[in-house]
Amino acid sequence: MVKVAILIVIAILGAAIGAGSALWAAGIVGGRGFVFSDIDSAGWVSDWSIGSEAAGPYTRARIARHGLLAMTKEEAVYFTRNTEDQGERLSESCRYVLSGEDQPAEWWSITLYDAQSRLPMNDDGALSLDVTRTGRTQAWEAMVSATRQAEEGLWISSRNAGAFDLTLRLYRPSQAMLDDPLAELNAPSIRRVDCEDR
Amino acid sequence: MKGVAGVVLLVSAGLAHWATLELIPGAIMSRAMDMMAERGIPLHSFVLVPRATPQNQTVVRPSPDLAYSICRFDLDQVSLWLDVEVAPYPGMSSVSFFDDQTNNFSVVAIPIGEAMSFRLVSQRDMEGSGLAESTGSILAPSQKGLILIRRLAPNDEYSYQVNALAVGDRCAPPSPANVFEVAPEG
Repeated sequence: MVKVAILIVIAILGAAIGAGSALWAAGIVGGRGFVFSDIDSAGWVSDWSIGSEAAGPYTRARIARHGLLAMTKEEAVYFTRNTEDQGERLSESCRYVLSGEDQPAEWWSITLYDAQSRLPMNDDGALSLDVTRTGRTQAWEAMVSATRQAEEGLWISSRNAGAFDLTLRLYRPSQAMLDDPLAELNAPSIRRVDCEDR
Repeated sequence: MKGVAGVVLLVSAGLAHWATLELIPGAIMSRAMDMMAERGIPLHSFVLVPRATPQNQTVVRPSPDLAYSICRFDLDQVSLWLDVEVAPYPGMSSVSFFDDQTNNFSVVAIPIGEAMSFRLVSQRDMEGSGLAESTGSILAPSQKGLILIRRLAPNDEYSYQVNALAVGDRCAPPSPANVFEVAPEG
């Protein structure tokens, strides 16, 4: 009788370990879990499993948690960056020059999010930049800062963002982009200009 | 005893690990659909979600570039199929169909300026009905799920257009006239 009770306790313990490890592997508790598919292009990182055909239980569970209702890769791909060119964390207290070129997609945009992955709480109406404002034929430059520096020029507001990141979205990317994102992405650079506290 | 205990531990951990992974997508989708219902998104009707702003955001990483219209479906509650109509839009748009396991089982890019119609049919119920052969039919692998129309609307001008035309989106059981057209086959 005692042996049976011990085995039941062991079975319950095993079930808890199994369920807990599954939740961790799916990135639901304790971090990002198993990530097999990150790609990194000059600091712009993308989980290439999001928007793909789900293959295997780990990927399916991860997509359910981190890419619910995500667009398919043919519709959109996403890259996120939270550091400037020297590797320092992006911060509201600094000013940056974001620069780049056109992207291999029908349409693209760059949006700023705070550390909680939310749009920062400000009413500047300058949370993103898109191809309709940069044009398609030439290199572009935009200021990323908490206050607008000049009336003219492109600007993304980081006011009330704290530590933030930028997400680059490519809508209807080219087939070449889908096949070889590292070669095709025109990764924008982020140069720090100055910081309030340095 | 030690050997048996080890086997029990490994088997129970393995089974629980596998079962949890299998259950996660369905549980997350079920919760998402319940939350949408609580927020007033009814069954079988498209609801245009307001463009994301810092003040109204309800999900993480909302895209301020896109306008969303959402329809929850439950094919157990329709007699034959669900008619889905997407109103024409002068910008980039698409319609995606998700099953109750979060899988995007169909996505269609909508040509600029064109309307499109679909017939959503239950894969479970379609055998022998002839419905699947109908033009524009999409087979749903689960009875419940979501239909999502996305329209590129990066500024107020586009948003006004979406607000005006999205009332033409339709997600509803067929009208009696359409049912009559198909009824003789059954």
